Amino acid sequence: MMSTNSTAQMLTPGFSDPVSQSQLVFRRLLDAMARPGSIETVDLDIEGPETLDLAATAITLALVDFETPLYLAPALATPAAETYLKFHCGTRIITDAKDAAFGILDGTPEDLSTFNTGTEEYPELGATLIIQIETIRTNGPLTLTGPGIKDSTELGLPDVPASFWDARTKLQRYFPRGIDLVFVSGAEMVALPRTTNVTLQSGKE
Amino acid sequence: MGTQSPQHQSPARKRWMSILAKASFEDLRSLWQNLPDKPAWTRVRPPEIGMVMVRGRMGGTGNRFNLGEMTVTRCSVGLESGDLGHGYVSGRNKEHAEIAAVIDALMQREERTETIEHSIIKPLELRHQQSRETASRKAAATKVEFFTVAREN
Repeated sequence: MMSTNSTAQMLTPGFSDPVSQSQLVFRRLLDAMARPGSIETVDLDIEGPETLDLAATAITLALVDFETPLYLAPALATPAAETYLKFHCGTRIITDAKDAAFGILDGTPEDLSTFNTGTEEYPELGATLIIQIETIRTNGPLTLTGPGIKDSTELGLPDVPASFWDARTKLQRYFPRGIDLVFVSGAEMVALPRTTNVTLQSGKE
Repeated sequence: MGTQSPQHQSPARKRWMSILAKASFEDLRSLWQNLPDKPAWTRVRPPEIGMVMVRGRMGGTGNRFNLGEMTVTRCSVGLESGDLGHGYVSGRNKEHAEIAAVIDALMQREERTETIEHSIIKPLELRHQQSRETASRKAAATKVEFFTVAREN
């Protein structure tokens, strides 16, 4: 009896209005992906698991279902988070990062190559990673260029180490295969699809 | 559901879930309205309408085949005590699914099980049995005996 009670107490509601709220989240994410480097805010009130940021919870509720295996970083995979995501998304939570369609990470991964980059024939099978960080700034040492960006734009993600950008640049050689990134902090998100080139301005950080 | 302990996937729960799902909405609502001290609940998953594929086996033993889809409404609620209740009913009556979910949650609270069983579950079961018997009796009354044709067995 106790175990059931504690499990149930952890289970909080998902979207209160699934249709309009999931469309809102989808639109925000679409805008973020279409204009890499622009910061979008998910202005919703969802009481998700403690370990997940609001934007991460909202994106997961909107996109993840039984056909999209989800990888949760060990630090985030509390019983409450797993119960919540299994119940509201109906998804499988997997421990092997290679099979994941979506991943929610606590900071950048040490090795990006553990995730699926898709195939030449089906590059869309590449994983989408939702990476929780502390700070997202519009001014910063990162210069972004590529589709969706007029000339160039600046972004500051102080929690992301320089080595991560090197690893990401190396991975971009295999285009169209690749991994799409969404950085989230609280209700804010910024997307870096695989087509966006990131350069770290020398002299800073 | 994966979130429930094995104890709550018991035959007893299966029985009351089935009775709540098969009950006519009018019966369920009137019994529910007469229930004293109703709990406060939150909608963990608001009532939603969907489809499920009904599958059958010819004669109960043949290969499985898809019979067709049917409309199902489901709802999940949480009580303040933390108990979680689910309601799955056929059709598109959201209120039915929600009341069924709240009663399922209440049935898991040991101090309420007995009273709810007597005031809601048992009466619904009786009414369901009665309507089944009436239907069977009406069907049996129209059974045709072909006396002129020799039975093969």
